[in-house]
Amino acid sequence: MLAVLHVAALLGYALTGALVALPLLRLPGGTVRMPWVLAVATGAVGLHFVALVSYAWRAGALPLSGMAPALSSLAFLVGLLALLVLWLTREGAIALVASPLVTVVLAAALGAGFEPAVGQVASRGPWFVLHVATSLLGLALIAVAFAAAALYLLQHRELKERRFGAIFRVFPPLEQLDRLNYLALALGFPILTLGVVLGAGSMGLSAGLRAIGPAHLAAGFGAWLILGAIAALRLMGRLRGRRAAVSSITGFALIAASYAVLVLVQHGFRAFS
Amino acid sequence: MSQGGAGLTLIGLNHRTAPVEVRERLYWPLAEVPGVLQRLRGGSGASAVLLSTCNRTEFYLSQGSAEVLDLISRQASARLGQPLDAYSYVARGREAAEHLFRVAAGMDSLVLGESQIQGQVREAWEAAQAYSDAVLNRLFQSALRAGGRVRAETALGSGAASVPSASVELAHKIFGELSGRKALVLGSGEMAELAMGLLASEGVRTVMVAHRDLARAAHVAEQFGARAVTFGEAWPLFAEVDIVLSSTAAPHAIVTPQHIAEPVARRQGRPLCILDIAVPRDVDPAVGRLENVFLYDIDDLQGVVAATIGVRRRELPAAERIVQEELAYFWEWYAGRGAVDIIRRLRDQMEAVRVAELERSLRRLSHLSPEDRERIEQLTKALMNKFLHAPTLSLRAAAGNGSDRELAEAVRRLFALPEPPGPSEKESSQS
Repeated sequence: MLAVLHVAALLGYALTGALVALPLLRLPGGTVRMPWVLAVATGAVGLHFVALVSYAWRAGALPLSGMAPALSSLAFLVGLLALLVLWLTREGAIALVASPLVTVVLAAALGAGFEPAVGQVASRGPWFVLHVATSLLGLALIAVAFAAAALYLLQHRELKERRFGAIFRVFPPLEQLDRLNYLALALGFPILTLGVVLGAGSMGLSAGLRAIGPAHLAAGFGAWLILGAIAALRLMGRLRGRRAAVSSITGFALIAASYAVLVLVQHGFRAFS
Repeated sequence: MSQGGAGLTLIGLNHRTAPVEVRERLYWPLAEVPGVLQRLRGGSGASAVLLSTCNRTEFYLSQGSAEVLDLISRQASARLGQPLDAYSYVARGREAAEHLFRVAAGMDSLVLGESQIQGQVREAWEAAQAYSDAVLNRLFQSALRAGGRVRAETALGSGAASVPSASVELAHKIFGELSGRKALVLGSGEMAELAMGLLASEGVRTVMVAHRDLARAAHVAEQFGARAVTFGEAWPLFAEVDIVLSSTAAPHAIVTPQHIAEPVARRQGRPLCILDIAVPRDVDPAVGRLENVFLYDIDDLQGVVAATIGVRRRELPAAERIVQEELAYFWEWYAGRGAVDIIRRLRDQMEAVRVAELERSLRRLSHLSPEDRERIEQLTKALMNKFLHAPTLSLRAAAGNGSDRELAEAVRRLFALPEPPGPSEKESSQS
């Protein structure tokens, strides 16, 4: 049942992206029909929520611990934020990036398999729960900043090169994408920072600060520092437009890569030992 | 309701059948429309709606008899000073309705998908309220609904279809909301003024107008509530404004990277949209390579228009489907009106027979209880409804395909129904 709900949500996310991508194919009648896009996206997020609730029901814990539940929660948050952007701006283009992103993360979660880790989260204490929850929310916001930046670069290229095709028509204005990128980064970085602090605190309480290994320091702290510099320049008004978009994409890539390294260090190496 | 009869009729001319010098002479401003329709009603008693725009003049009549068409033709020919026939067209029945649906959807416009026509159709109908009737009201309501659906459900009305509106669309794609944005105008010119007027209607504020001739600059600046400056004073403004509109008569590029690179560098990444609509171009193409500068010339603006028209053409099949759907709804109602009268008379006659026969029978069956009498009455009603069901459906179907007149006559003879009321009697009974 859990897998079925997740697969249904995944199909919903994919369909949302497909509905928005249709006009890019230049087919007759290929108009972005926002009511449909909104209905399908809302349905997908709703199904995903039900899936997470049913996981929590079965596991007796929040879907935060373990690879599959954490990835599923991350995908849900990105989906939810993208849906919020859809509702507020009535611009479907965000789904072109968010939809594949969510679909891939959710597919990875399904691939990892949902084996409820009963009592695992509770046993790690409330600090750990807060650490994972804030980290995932921060990551989701940075993913939205990434989506806006990617759309910005594509629209920027079309406008610079004077191409007035489907991307020009379907994508939102540059300034709107820049504002979305700014907002998502301005919110995402502090929340992610809170997640990092809570993580360090949680680890310090349970195993002592010395347990934070060099991999955490090198990958996690390094990526956080670079993203922090980007966010600071953005907030100070020193970075905007195309450069801000490129920086956001770099920041997201670094954060994603650092998480991948940390997950590998924490789970992958251990699994092979 | 036969399609070939004097039912719903359209007579008119448009941009495809008449040149502009003919169209302009047969154009009636909205304020004059009630007077025209009043004269038409006075002369023929016809109910009509007159749609008159710069691209078409069309009379829609609920009963387009030969006399009414002749009257319109004579009056229009007199106004034109030559026979109307060479430029006009007449459509009847479903064809007339379909034409209006396509007009309201912008599918028959000179610029495919233009949205102004929807408002013009609405205004024409509203101006003719006193001279319209139930058929025309329903026709125009349905046409406006079809037009609204085409705009909402397809991209037929999307994008910019003229050079000035392409300027606005480009600015929109960079800045989104244009309200409060600042613009600088270099030079003057009809196209620049048109584009600036459109940008101003979006809330863009013209702050400066630069021209070699300061007096000329002051004249243009006055129109937009801006200040006049010389070109030399204009270059630093490239650091402040969001949109630059250039249309000078200079024989070579006057805006070069040397002039504006330094002010643009001070913009801290804010985009600058430069619309160069002069020929020869005012802005050196190298300016477009500066970071965050978006430079468009007249060819680019025409490219936006061409892309829009291409998109709109691709939307035509979807728009056509909507028009046919709405037309089918309207036609079902319109055609069904012809069957209503004969069905009503048939039912009245059958009901009279039923009631008379029931009363006669019940008088002989006085021993029956009230419940049994009620049961018998219900039985007669049920039988009558069953007997009339198939003929009713057949009459409605015949009305839908235009063969109702013959069938109605057959029913009238078979059931010995009274003759239908004459036109004058019918008019007074309807009113």
